[in-house]
Amino acid sequence: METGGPGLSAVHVADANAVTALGWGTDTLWEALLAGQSGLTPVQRFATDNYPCHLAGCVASLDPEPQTSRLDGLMEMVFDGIEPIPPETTLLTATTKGGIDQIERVVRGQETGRDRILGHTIADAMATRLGLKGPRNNINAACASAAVALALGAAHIQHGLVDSVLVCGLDLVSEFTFSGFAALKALSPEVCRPFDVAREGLVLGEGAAYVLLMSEKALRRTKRTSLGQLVGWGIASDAHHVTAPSRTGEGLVLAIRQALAGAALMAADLAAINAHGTGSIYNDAMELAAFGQLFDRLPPLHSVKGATGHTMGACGTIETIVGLCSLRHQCLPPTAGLRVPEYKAKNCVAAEAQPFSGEYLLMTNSGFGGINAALILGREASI
Amino acid sequence: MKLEIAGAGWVTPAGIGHSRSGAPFVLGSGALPRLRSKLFLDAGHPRYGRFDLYAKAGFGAIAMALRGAGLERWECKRPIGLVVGTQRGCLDNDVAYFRTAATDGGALASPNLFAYTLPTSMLGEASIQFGLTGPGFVVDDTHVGRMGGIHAALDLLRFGLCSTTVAGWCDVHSEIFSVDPGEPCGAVFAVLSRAGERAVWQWEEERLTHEGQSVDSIERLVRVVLENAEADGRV
Repeated sequence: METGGPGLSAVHVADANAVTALGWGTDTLWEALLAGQSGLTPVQRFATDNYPCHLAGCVASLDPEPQTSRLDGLMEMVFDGIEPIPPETTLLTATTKGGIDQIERVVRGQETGRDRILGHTIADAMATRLGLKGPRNNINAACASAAVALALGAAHIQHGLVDSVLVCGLDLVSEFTFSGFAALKALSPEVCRPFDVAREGLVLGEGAAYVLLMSEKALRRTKRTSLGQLVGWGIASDAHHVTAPSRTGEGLVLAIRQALAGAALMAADLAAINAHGTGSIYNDAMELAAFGQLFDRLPPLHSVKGATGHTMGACGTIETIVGLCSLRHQCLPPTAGLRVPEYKAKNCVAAEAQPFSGEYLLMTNSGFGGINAALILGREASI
Repeated sequence: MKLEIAGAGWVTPAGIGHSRSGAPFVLGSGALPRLRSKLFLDAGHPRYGRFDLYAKAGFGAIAMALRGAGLERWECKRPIGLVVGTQRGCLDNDVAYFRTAATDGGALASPNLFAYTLPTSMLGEASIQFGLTGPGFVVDDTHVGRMGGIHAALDLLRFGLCSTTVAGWCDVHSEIFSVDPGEPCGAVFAVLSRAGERAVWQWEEERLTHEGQSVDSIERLVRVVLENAEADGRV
């Protein structure tokens, strides 16, 4: 398999892990998705009586001490058992609202720390936990945060600026975001149903996932194996609306075209799609409109949001892991919640697992502000 | 990588301006001037009144930077990127929003305030107003010279993810995160493009230079842009 392009380094995934409402670990995530399980359960963390939705994908055992943020618990869980990482590794965290539970307590006049409110404090804490001395930053690109961070990290490696980048996306279910999406009338009153003709909105989820990117040289030096590759990436804006996606999907089309060009691939080379698929009426319609402009015939596609909930800033790393598992097993997991596919998604989205055959998978995320990101994942390579 | 910096714009406590306005540039502390959309757009902006101070300052400085670069007007959308470095971002708006949500079990939560609880919303508004379809994102800016956003944007150019980007810094004082009152607040943006070998700006080994001299703060960057504009008779 050709990788990297002339004069450019290939970008490999050397390690990854996720914690979501489906549990801890990539195998757990994959097996639960494949079994069609859903982690969406009634919210216990705050009262939902006045909201139209009562479900979310919360991570079990994430109740903090009063002074800390639940984010710290997520970080501890996702990095549990991680192999040592080269200390010079660049760290990119990705989150939309970080330690938002601390802001909630400030507003309520409750005693609280404020150590996870600013973005860099999350990256600093993670670097300390992992012994990383390299550059670090937090990327916020709304619900495309982790996908954008992966694109930037991969570009750094591809251009030979660094040999390893750790990207960690993480976000919490909080009353802040729950009430906000409810106010925007974006929450589903029942389980979310991505690409379903009767979908009514999204259901929030929380989680954390890291993806360790490495050059081939670093992979060899650290005696790791390639779990897959990032072969193309694109980022583009709709320039259309602050909270609603473009009806035509123009920004997503631009992002996918940029990713295809970078990977020197055609749309027909993409064997499957892990779509953003939030289950909101407009997002899913936008994605299908965009895909329809790029593919003569849509490949199998799916969304994890009916199983994990919409994990916002974390979804890009979580779904990259799912995409790599899909490529390895040559199979897309079921789209949980789906009953009757939207007309334009008929024959490509399913409530059952979908086998496919191919080397590349497209992963897309979009967010508030009209930001879109597209990643093209490749199968694991022998190094 | 060689580059051109075609213009700069700012909203600071000392005033509002751009690189062709002839207005003095001072990166100061204290309160920002009263901000209204007609200071930046002849026709005003229908949602500007809803913006928090962070978004008002950032949107205004982006408008000024585009005006300074002669890129304010457009007919077709353009693949120009938008990157901002900030620390506190829209924190005060977060607090204002959650005050509406924390009572009555969320029944009175404000959708208008929630729409601006991401620091990227300001970039989204600017992308809509000026037809900018390039990459857009926010970085946490801990650089001592407030260059975090500029550096991230320079990488976008280097990686070929866009050929022009509006990038800068935006931070306002926050009710719940007190900072030194002498710390600058406001927004400063510049328009950066890839350029040919004869260009005098360079981004190499994580160092921005102009005619070989290091430019390590956003304040210095704007001063050099102003000097160049004056030398070229563009003021």
